[in-house]
Amino acid sequence: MLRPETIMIQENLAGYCRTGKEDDIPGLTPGRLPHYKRLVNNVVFGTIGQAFPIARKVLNDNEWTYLLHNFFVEHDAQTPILWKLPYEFFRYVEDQDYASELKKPWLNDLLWFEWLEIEVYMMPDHVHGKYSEKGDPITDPVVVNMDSKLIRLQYPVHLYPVKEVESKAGDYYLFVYREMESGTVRFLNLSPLYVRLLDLLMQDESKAASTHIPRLSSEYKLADEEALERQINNFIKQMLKSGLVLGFRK
Amino acid sequence: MIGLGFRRDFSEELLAGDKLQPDFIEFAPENWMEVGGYWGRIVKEAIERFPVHAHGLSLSVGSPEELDYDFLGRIKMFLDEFAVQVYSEHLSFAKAANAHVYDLLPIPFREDAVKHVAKRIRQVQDFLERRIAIENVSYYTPVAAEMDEATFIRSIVEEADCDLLLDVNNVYVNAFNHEYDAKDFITKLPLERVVYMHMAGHEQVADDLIIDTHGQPIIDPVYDLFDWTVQRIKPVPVLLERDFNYDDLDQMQEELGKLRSITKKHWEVAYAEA
Repeated sequence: MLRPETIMIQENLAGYCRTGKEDDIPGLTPGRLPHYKRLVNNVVFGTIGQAFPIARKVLNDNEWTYLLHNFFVEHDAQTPILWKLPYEFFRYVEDQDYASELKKPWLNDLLWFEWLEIEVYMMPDHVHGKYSEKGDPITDPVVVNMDSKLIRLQYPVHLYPVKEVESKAGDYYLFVYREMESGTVRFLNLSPLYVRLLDLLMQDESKAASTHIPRLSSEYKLADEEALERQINNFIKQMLKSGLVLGFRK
Repeated sequence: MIGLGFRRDFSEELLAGDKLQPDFIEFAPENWMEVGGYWGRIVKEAIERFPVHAHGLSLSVGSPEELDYDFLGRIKMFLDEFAVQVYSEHLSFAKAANAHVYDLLPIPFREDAVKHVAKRIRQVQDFLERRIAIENVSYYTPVAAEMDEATFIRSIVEEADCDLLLDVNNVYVNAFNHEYDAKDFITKLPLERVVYMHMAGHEQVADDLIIDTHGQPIIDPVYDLFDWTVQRIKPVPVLLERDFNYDDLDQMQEELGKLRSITKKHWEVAYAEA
């Protein structure tokens, strides 16, 4: 069993690295403690800064430092995997509603958008099973690239510079996916209809697009099912070229 | 066997096999576990090409709190998937009061810490169903010490019944920073338990302070200490650590060559005669 005093000393040392407040830590060599704070700050702040290059650029130095400092002092970092720490930073900023405090309503969306590029780039490979690149987009079950994330943003931070997005608030659907061959992350802005289609296809990979057409027709009040089928046919062909659809289950 | 820590920046050159030719590679599990896509493929290629060792960063065996068994389970999967030969961690702590700080903080050299850390290492070994090696870390100030560093390390390693990763550069850095004799320190360690060695460069930032940066070439006094140490232990794998400044890969290959020639000089002769 550790003595309470030893536990306190260890917690004070780690706490100093987070807050800079030097509580009771006996037996130190004078002048050496700040090196730990500097080294820890370099690692933590450097990792977060690299993860959010756009946010870092559009916030001024005071705003950025304020967020980083508050995050590291107030938030108990849980992930043992350093490259995942920026996700905790994004969630912290969102939970604490710094977007309102800093009067930057697009901040949460921007951080999420930037984080997703890392998450999708690094995510484990999904096992897609056997599929063919040739098939009928309507009648064959479609294999959607599952190395991906489908999200809804309120501000189009993926389309415009942040100074322009505030007046463009709305519903923006974004499919973030990783190209199979290159591993490059791509972003696709999609209409709600196609988002719903992809969602249905991903929910049940055994079903072809044709089985979803009546439902989509009803949900989106598109009475002409033949026209909808042609539209979906073209969409899936396009997505096959862009790598969002991988092929067809035979 | 002379190895090199796997880093993204020179992974292509490493796999190409022309500029860098280590005998094995070392991964930090935290940087490579559960990774797919481009880097997942690179890692698979690397583990098919080289024997693999793993050197952990975040297990935090010196923490006051409970071990993170969820994380330990993921480490175990990584070790199996990567066919890791030696898994090592630092004799330090990186988490306290339920928060990671992502650096290697010095554990107080105290008897209660010896018992606590040794128990945690035994728990880790039981869970992983393998022995682990614990590395002597560099540190810039002692913290509430009640015993000397060598006694602290020896006591833990013996009580935990684990192996020792001897980082010769860390010994050099600590001897300089805390004004003790590096060779005397090494003779006090349980050298029969050394299964792995690390070597690296460092940076002197003040008259009385060296920071263990892993960003510079190994300096001659550290090679000399390595040469002296190698004569006192059985042959083990030796790793070159370099965490940044990768511009001159030829120079890194020279470092691998120099480490290889020192180990060859002592170990091949001594163990051939035996």
